[in-house]
Amino acid sequence: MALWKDALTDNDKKIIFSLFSRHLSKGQTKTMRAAHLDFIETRRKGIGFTDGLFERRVIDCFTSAGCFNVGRGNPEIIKALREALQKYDIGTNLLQSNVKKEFIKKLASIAPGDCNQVIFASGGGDAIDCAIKLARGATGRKKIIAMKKAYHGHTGYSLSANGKDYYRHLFEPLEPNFVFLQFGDLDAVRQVAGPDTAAIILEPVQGEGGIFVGDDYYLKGLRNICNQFGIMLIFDEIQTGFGRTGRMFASQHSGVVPDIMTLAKSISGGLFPNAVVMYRNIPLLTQYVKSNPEFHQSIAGGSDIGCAVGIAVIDYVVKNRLWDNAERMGNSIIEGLLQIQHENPDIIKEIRGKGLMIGVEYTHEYMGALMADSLARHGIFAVYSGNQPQVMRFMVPITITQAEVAKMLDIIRKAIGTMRVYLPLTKPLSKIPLLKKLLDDIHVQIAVFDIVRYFEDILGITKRNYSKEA
Amino acid sequence: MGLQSLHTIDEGKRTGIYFSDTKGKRYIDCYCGAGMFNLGRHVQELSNTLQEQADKSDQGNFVLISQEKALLASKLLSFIPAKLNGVFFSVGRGEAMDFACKLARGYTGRTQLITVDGAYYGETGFSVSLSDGDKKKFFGQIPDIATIPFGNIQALEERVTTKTAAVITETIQVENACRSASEGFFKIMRKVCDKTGALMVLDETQTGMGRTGKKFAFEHYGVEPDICVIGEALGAGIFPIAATAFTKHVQKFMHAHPLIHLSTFGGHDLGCRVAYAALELYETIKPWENAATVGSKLLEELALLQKQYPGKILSVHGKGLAIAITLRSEDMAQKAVTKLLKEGIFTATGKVARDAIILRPALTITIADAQAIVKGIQKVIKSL
Repeated sequence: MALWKDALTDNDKKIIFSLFSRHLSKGQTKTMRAAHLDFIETRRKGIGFTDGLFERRVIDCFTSAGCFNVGRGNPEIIKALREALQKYDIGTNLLQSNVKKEFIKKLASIAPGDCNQVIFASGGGDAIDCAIKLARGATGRKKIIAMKKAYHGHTGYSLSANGKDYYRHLFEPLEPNFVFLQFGDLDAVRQVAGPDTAAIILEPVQGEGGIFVGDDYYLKGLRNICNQFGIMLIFDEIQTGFGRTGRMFASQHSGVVPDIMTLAKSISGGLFPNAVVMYRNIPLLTQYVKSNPEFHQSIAGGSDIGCAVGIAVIDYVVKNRLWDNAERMGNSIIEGLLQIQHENPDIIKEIRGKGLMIGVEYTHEYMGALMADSLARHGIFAVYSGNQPQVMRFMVPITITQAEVAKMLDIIRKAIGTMRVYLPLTKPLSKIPLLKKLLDDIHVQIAVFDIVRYFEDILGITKRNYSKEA
Repeated sequence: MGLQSLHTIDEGKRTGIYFSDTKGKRYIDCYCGAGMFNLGRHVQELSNTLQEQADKSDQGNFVLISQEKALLASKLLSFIPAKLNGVFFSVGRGEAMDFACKLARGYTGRTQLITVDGAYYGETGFSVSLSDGDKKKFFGQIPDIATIPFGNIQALEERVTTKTAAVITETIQVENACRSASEGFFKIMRKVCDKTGALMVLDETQTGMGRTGKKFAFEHYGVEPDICVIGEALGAGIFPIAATAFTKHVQKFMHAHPLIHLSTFGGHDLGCRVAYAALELYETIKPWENAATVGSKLLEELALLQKQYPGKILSVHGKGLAIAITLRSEDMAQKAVTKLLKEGIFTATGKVARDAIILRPALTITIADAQAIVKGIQKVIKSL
């Protein structure tokens, strides 16, 4: 096929699926097909993309787990990228540059409290590994308290801090000095934390874990414990940062300043990878970094191009006060979802979230996959949490407008209607313990839905009946 | 200032084998972002590609099937001269190596990873645990990792067993004064891996993409790895992208466990478009040919320099355009780096061998420019 098409022929689609299956993962292709999530993103714009498979617009409620806060294909960020490319390449990690300095200043200008010092990293996982190294290096301690259901990444240390078995168990033994506690349980932390603890690491709002919001009491409590024992409080703001939860950073809801904070995803504008670790301007940390300048080198993180893009992202977020929009639109969506819950108490168990980081918990585990499928048919791309399959995450670009919110809610309503078609079959089955176990098993779901999808394709009823408008 | 900057130089304009500081002083870049700028600085063709493509694609949703990932995977696998069939994209070296370790454990169902002394693989958890030096002591060690001496055939034969998931090494230890091992070592490594079912993992981050005079350094030794780590040179300094490529057998693990390892920025759709164009450029320029020619000339002249200053230069090692000059002491090497800056030559000492200056200029360098480097080095060595 000719390179990089917007309009895909049937043959193009066949080639893409076949090459992806052959060289990346057959299992992934199957999984996506089974859940009707076999989108091929072509034109990316605003809050969504065109699905090249059926030439329909799709609202992006996953946004690569929070990468597109400024919207997809944002012209201002594209302009900054193009301008940067006139002058820069990735640049040299051992040298300084004006654009790096400017980016560091920009980050400091939005920093929570004195958490305004910067180290570059190449992505979220790398940033977490760096944060863990910084905490351990500075304190000279090893033990780290992490949270059950936590998601921090897939590199060596970040994976060791992950609270989800699926991502860990086939790769163990991992770095052993992690203790996992229930998110939100302050007493558990009090029992475990002490003068031997290097850090407490958590997402202020757990994302992949199923959208659990750390409340002020909990976060302030953690801050106090950390103060008491000289423990580094690490906030993973990779998904929550840059306006997502209704503040520039989620920590600002409680006013708790972390000692170390990791940022990635949206800092890239969805266009050019970058990540940073920010840390407090306190002697323990600054002196460690100063005397160990090579403790975490990043060849491609903090690139000159990435810094120029990062500056444009921060400017855009600040200029448009995107966090305010996230709060307003978030409230509006939550209000709509509560209404939908009220109409469908047998399907929706709970709505929770902060700003535009919203989770919908269904009454049964197997409903996550069913709903993803139904939403896809109607034009929303949303995924259920890897760590909590009955919870679906809605993390739409925070540039979303009121009209787009209305459209989104309308689609969710329709999708629930579609899902109701399956329910007479699955609900009675789910009352039988063994079958419930099977229904909840993601592998069984994929196998079954893949067969269903196969027959749908043969019969030509793989219809995605969402609207054609952009 | 970001902590990585060891020098107070402000990097300004970049082109070809050079960059200038903001005051206008020009340097020959012999560091090249740790071997990333293989095609030179600010490669105009690739910069243009990214500018053109910037509004046509973006990062994409990392869980989705994409034409960019599919086509780049296919292109990269046909570029690598080994029977590799699967690929996973990352942003940088450490991440790509950490994935290689996970893949080896996952596929074999075994836990032991065997590395070699003098190695450097990156800054993430597995990479730190496998690398030489005491970082792992402070930052945490992933369990069940054993170290054997690089180049020691007997150790390979004795230590690699049916409990071993993978034997991991760089093909040439660039950060360790470009230390290499014999062809016999790599052949035996292949043999014991085949015998025990352990996977052979080669990190070609700094040696691949033409650096040593071949596309990949393993070609010098007549072996093919089961898993190959390809570093930032894939994006040629315009886009951060790295890859882990592996055989059809190993790929079974990825088929059976979809989405078990993820990377938000790895396989970035825009990045795939840039890397695709970069691979086309690599194929057109064939920079490994120039690297072989200029590299051997450079080695030759540096060997003469060593004869001239045997008390200061202890050894000169390398292959293609990955060359190390080992000096009498770490202190002398550090001084040399500083003085070379004054001569307009930007180098760094090895991360493992701190008494060595590593030369890894753009692969497009001419013999005349290489001679200018030698001249600069001669002047500096004389003054030390």
